[in-house]
Amino acid sequence: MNNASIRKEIAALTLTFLLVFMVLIHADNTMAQIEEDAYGEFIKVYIDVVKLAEKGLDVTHLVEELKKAHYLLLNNETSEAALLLSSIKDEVKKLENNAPSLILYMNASKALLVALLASMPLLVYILLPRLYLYLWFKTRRKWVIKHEPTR
Amino acid sequence: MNLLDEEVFAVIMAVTIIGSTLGIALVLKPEITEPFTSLGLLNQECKIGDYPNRVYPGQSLVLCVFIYNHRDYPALVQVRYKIGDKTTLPTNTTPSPHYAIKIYEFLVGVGENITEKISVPILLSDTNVDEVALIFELWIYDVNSNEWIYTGIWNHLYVNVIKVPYLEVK
Repeated sequence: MNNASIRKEIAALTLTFLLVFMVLIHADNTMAQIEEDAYGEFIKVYIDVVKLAEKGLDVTHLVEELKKAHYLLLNNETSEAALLLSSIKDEVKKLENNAPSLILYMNASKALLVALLASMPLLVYILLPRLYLYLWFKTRRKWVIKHEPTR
Repeated sequence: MNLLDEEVFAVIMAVTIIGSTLGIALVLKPEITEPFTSLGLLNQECKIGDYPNRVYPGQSLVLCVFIYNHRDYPALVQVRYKIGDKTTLPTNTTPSPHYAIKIYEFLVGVGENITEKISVPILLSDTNVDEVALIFELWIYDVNSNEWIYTGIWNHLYVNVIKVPYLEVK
């Protein structure tokens, strides 16, 4: 084996090594980018859930799902986390679309409850004596009045 | 007892009015009036007290953190672990100037609390110190500014550093 062929082999080896090294670095960067993107997606969904919670909507179920996605992200299970995040995103969208009617329903039921509570004293004032008298007469309806003429 | 007696009826009406007012107040009162988050440091059995007081450099200490979210939205929080001393403790407004050795991140639901075991590495830049403070700061993700902000809440634990004896090989 002469010097020229040795040099050629060394050059080929170096080139191969460089190529493998570059591919590894690229793969590492790509993985880091994917993880970063997934975390960014998680933050976006989290912000949406916070906005829904601040409107007074019940987001307990969404938070439980988000917790699972967060756990997966922290354990570098990016693809599973991305899948879960996409399903949470769909649920968030559904809830966002239904938000106005849900808020209206919540406010209406609250107003109804307040109105009912506010009318309680009036109802008691009007109905209690009537109810009492009704029950009083009902419990005594079989009573026989004995009349004794005064002497 | 005659319910239609004026005095008895007046008492019944008074009780009804008070009950109704209280009920309305409870319905209209917001669920969370003073939002806050809290952080607690617990020992390795996740109980208060009996904390480790001696560590050696390079050791991994097991402790527990307790986080409570009393806000009307789920809180994304970080517990940032730092090692400092008496002069570099955080304050209510500023975090410790040291860099975070480890960051533990949690998502805590509305009105929920979590207790999690954490492994705390004792990484010392200067092994000649006798006492260090293990600092745990609570940071929260602010959805308005889209960044992590220091809550002003922290816990610290003073520990003595054991000097490993130097064995001279002859």
